[in-house]
Amino acid sequence: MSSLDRKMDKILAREEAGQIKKRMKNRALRKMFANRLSVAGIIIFVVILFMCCAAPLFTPYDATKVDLRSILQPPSAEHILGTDKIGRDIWARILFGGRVSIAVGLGSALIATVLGVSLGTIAGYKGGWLDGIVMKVSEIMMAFPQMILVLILVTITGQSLWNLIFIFSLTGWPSMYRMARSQMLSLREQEYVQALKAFGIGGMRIAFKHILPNAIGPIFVNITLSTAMFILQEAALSFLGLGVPLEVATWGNILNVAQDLTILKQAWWIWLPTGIAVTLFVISINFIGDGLRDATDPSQIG
Amino acid sequence: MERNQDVVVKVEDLHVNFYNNDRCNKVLRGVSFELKKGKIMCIVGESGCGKSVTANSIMGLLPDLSRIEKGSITFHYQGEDIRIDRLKRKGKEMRKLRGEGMAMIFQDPMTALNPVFTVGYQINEALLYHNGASSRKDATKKSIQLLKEMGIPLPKQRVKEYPHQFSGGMSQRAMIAMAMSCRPKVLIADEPTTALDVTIQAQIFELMLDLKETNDTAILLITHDMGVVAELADDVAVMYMGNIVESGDARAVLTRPSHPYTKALLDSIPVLGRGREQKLEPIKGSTPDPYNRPAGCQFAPRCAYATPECETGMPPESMVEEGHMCRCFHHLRKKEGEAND
Amino acid sequence: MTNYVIRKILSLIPMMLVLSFLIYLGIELMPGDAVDFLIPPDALSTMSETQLNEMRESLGLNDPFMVRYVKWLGGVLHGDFGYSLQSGVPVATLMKNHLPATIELTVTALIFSSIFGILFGVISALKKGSILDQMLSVVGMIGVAIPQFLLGLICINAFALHLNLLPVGGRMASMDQNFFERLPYLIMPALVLGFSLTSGVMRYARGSMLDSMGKDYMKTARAKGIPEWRLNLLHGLRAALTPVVVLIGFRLPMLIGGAVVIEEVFQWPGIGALFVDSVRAQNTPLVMMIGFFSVLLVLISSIIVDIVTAALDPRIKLS
Repeated sequence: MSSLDRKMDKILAREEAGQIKKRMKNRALRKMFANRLSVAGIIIFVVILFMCCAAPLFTPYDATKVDLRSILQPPSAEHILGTDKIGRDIWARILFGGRVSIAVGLGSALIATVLGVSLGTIAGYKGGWLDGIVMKVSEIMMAFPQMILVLILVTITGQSLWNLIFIFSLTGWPSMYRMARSQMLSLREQEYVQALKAFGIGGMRIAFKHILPNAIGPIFVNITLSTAMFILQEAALSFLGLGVPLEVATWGNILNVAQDLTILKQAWWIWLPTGIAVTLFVISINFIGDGLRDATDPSQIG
Repeated sequence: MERNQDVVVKVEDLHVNFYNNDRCNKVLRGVSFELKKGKIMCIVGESGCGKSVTANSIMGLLPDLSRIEKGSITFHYQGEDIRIDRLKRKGKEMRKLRGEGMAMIFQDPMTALNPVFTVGYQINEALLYHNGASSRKDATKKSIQLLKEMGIPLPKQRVKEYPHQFSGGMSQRAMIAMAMSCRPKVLIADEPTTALDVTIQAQIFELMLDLKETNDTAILLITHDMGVVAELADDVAVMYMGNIVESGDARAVLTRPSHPYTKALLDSIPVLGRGREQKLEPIKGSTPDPYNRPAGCQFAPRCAYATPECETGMPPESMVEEGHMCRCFHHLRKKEGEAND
Repeated sequence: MTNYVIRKILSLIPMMLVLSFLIYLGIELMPGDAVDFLIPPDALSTMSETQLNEMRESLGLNDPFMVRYVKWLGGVLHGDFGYSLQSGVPVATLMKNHLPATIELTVTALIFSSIFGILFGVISALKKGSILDQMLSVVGMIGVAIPQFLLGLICINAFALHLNLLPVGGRMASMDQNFFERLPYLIMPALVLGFSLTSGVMRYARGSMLDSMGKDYMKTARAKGIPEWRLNLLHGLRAALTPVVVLIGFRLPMLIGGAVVIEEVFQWPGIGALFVDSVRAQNTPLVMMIGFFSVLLVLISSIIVDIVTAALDPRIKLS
């Protein structure tokens, strides 16, 4: 109680001295930056993304270079995070692997978004049989536990990097579709839409130009959520040996070797830093998503 | 300090600040009034003027990020003078007073009842926690009796129903039943009919007048409707931006308004039967930003009689007549002029 | 209520039909000869080409696709799910052998995460802004961000390999040992599997509780003068519970998906491990049937969630 009182005194004193903090104009941006966690999220995200993209700047090694003279070496000046069973530099593998993992996660999320949002916009605005069919398809896909559906599709298509992106996009669109569709359904009856129709503006133009921008907040939140989910799933699949083929370095594939109990027990440097990298990256995405959700939610005061 | 025997609650020079979003909003800036036994006191004013905050201060229901800065609230209860402003808001003493000594009903009865419990359960709770009933069974019996008193048909069946099965008017009756369950000395009604139909409004007010007569309850009625004031109030206080600008006997204030704001409020009400010809005078401008208040009289920027003097400070209280107070420089000047004549 | 359940189950039929068709399509699209998984593999090896052809004819493999599908569906409805390509054991038998382990694991994880998720979420909301609240939210954030298998690996490394407190993995069959002998095997996988759900439930319960605490009826209850604990736990929590239960229901598929990975990490002999094995071995009939049943499970649990929600919230009517 007393700490609260002290805080109130401070605000009162500042108010009476006439010092009021300047506020940023854009309400969403202001809230986003006022949220310390989302700022931290953006920083971590950008740092990891930059280090992975510019990997050769940060390591002299190649992710796939085998060096049988130095296998399973603990961290040293030469190899900052040591080497794995066939002498590949772990630090280099984390950086180069991050490229693939992030590309798979972000890429699939974006494709799923484009697919889901356009279907949702068109079907949701038009309604009718098209909407009915797409809705049923999405219902069936969403009835599967995501992981199981992904594995079934892996059995059918076989393992490869592109197949994985294809599978993630295919399993990811229904949730985006639902979100875009519900926005359409609630907004298309609004009076401003009726007014636009009365002006003779085409249906698709109204849907994409005048209604869709209202859903931009939820769309971005959904992209962050999907990206995080796909990165975690890629890691899990590769860990099981069912994701990206093992010769490509990804975060999941580095962790794959930890199935071996001796490596798990003795060579922590192979799996622990990689695991931390994955976790940190996903946390940063979640922070950004949380910040975006709060910032774009008009029902919250800022 | 001599005290009128009839005074139940005495509020003196109450200052309350809100501290949301790192800003300080001085919501109440020196509010004083008295609630008397068996009388209805109305507080009128536009939304945001601080009338609900006044009510919440008395009930000890202010939000966490707010503080009573100055002034006192004295509750005369069971032969003692209790200083409510000094009690812990969530403490045991305050809790005992709430529900037992004073009760409150709210604006929207549909959201004020918890949707997952039966109406009977929620009334029982009040009874059981203030020793109004010895057992759950006894409580239910009393709840049924209360619902019946409040004019709810089929009380035996209604007591087992959930709030969503009640209409707005019925819910408000149930709320009043709950509030009156321990026969409190004070009933605070925060715009109890704003969310209801006009016909239901009349019934609820009828019920409140009845309660006042039979239980000798002091009622604090918060409203923005001058018609309600004319209908029900014994005393009235007109609030504007955290100050009571005019107060006193309801008849005196309504027939001889002295503050320009009160006059303006009365002029802005259409009177039924006067037809299309009547001239309505809306109050020009809008209420100022609470974070950027006028320096002097809060009403000055919207006032037709404003002079440079009005911007120097809040005018002092002056008596228009016995028991009729007004805070206005314009009125003071007029009085001086009369005295000089 | 019975009425509702029956109607709900009936409404699932068209969806299950479409799904079964897709599943059968998946099985048929698999490269290789269909007789391979219609008859036990040991019988297959002793047959000649003409015999196989006769078999195909008698099994109806030369029938049109739709006829074959209807026959297959008839078999499924009678409990004939085909044979595993790897072992030749009927799929139904495999499922029966692996199901108890999975149920044990997921139900333990579900109970654990519901109880602790709600408990910590409510504590967090009541102590909003405190150090405890902040610590819990950090744990919660890590919980939803850490790959489950990684958490499993860290736990195995710490508690099994270094501290030797718990076994690395595996499970004891229920008939051999009593509950307390089997418990050590269950603890780690169940807690690891439940951890992410616990975090999710905790974050959601906190939000829902805070939401409920800001409602008008809380002010009414406070104006009645009832004690603070009763106010929060009874009025606040009771109303906050419904959305949390719905969330748990929604997250159930993720729990099942997580079980696939966790069973593999801890060598837990359940359906999930069986599923991963079949995916690795391209054992399509088994993969498809497990997929089919996972959907069935999700749909049934959604009905259960509906019933529980209606029981919790008097405003919701089952219809």
